[in-house]
Amino acid sequence: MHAASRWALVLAVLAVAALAHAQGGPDELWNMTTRMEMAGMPGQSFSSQVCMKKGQTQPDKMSQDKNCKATEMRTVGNKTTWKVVCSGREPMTGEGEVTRTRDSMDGRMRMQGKSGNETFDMTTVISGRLAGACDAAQQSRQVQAAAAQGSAMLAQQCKESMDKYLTVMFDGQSAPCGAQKPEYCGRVTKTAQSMRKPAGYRSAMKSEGLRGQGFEQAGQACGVDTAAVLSDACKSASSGRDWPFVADFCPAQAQAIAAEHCAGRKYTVAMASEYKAVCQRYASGDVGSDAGGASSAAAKSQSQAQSQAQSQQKDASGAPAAPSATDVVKEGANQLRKLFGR
Amino acid sequence: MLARLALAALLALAGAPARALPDPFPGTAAAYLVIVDGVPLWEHAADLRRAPASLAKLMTALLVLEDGGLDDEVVTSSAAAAARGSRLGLHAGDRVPVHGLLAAMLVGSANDACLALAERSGGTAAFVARMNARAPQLGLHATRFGDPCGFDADRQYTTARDLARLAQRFMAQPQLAALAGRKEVEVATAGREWVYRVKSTNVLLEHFPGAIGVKTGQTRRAGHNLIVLTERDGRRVLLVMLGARDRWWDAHAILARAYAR
Repeated sequence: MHAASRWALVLAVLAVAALAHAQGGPDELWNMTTRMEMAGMPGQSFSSQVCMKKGQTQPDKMSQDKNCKATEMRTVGNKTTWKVVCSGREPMTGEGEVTRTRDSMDGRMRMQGKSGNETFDMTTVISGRLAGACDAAQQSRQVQAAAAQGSAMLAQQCKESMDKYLTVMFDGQSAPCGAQKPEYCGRVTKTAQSMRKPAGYRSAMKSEGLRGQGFEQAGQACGVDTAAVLSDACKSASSGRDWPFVADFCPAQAQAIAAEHCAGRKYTVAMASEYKAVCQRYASGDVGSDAGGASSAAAKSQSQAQSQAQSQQKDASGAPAAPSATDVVKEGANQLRKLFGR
Repeated sequence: MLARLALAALLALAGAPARALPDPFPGTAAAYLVIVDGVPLWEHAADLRRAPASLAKLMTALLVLEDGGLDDEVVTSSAAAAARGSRLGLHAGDRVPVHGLLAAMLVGSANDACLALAERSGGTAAFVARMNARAPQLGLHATRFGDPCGFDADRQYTTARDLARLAQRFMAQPQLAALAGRKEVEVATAGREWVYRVKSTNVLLEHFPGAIGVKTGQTRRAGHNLIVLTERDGRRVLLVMLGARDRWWDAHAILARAYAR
């Protein structure tokens, strides 16, 4: 059982226990205050109501976890001590003690173990006061119902995460849906196959979990070579003249297209061509490191910029104005040849 | 005493030169100004006097709209029909509704339509006088018009800052804003004897996602001028370029950079 679901179960127990107090019954309702302390983390306190069988000295939550077993339980006078051993993916050991009177309970429990590659050492201090009567059997049924509901919710969440390609839900020691990772990776592998074509790639990129770095993360988790997938999609896009795809996903090809079909050309001609999508990216400075009309101009040497400014000052006084379009095109083409090394 | 200090502070502020904004695109234009959501962002020589070219037609359009009678028919004079540069192709005697002339002037920068409109309002000289009377009322204190259509004329000038103000006034008029955002418009003579399809001279309307207006201008003295208003995700960027080196590429890049900030 994962740590997340283990603690979810504990919380479910406590939540249901809170409902029990109003119902009366043969058992005891306790107001409990719990403080958890862990090295390197600020302590956290929370209060709850817990329904316990008469005379019980520890909450039921440990017995709810099938991976945990209480051993060496001893009661001397009004003090009970015990040890706990938890197995599974996150093994831990612990010991606890509780001293109780008729209407009070004070104790502490220390748990040590490993979560992933990190060890932890957590101490829980509990303090309880008898608050009234409750029905532990009814609570147990409610706990089971809540646990079932929790499991159903988790299953639903895992299904949705699978559909959205949320890798973080399946990959890693504490992943809530870790048990379904093989199924998830099967789906990622199949989807990646379809992404070798532009249409499949575009379609997959609509998924929340694959956008941005999501596809790479999924690939890392599932052993899929995402760079090869994208390379195939870009080759296919280039041969199919799917320039909008190239503009959006294939920077190397886009840069080459921009150098050949956008740079140094008249804006209206470039934008009226089939390469419009690439030229728009180029104009916006998204293609290549220094590409883009104004970016190119800004990249010109300071002295050139100053001489242009001086020339424009002359324009304002009535001298011939802007340079000819040919000059501008030639100048732009020269700049871009330098940029693209052609 | 306090009042005296406040007055002194005010005077000091009034006398202080305006702090120049950054100029990340040196050399792209003789003057430019970028305004994002009403706040100036970048500029170069925004107060430099430059020839307006056809950007003067924004003022002409405002006055025509104020005059009203948009459905009135205007008979084209031989002088208007002989207008140079961008033109609709009107012949002397053609009768065209005012709203059609307005559309041709704003979308296609048609000089024959522009002259016909100015002549309708008392002749070009009187119309220019009205433009100059209206300019300071709109906050254009560094502008002087010499021609209703922006043909180069002596002692005619404006600045990027004034043109930004003019464009804002212009785009605040829904009828004018709608025309300034049209990529193409159909203009017909009365009775639809002749129907013209006029394409916008502002190619950014076609190629820059989010471009919603305004106008281009070009004369020998002015070089390549442009005012463009864009809107994306509720943010508005206005760019004024006067004497642009490579008007479309650079405008596209500047606008993209403004949105990418």
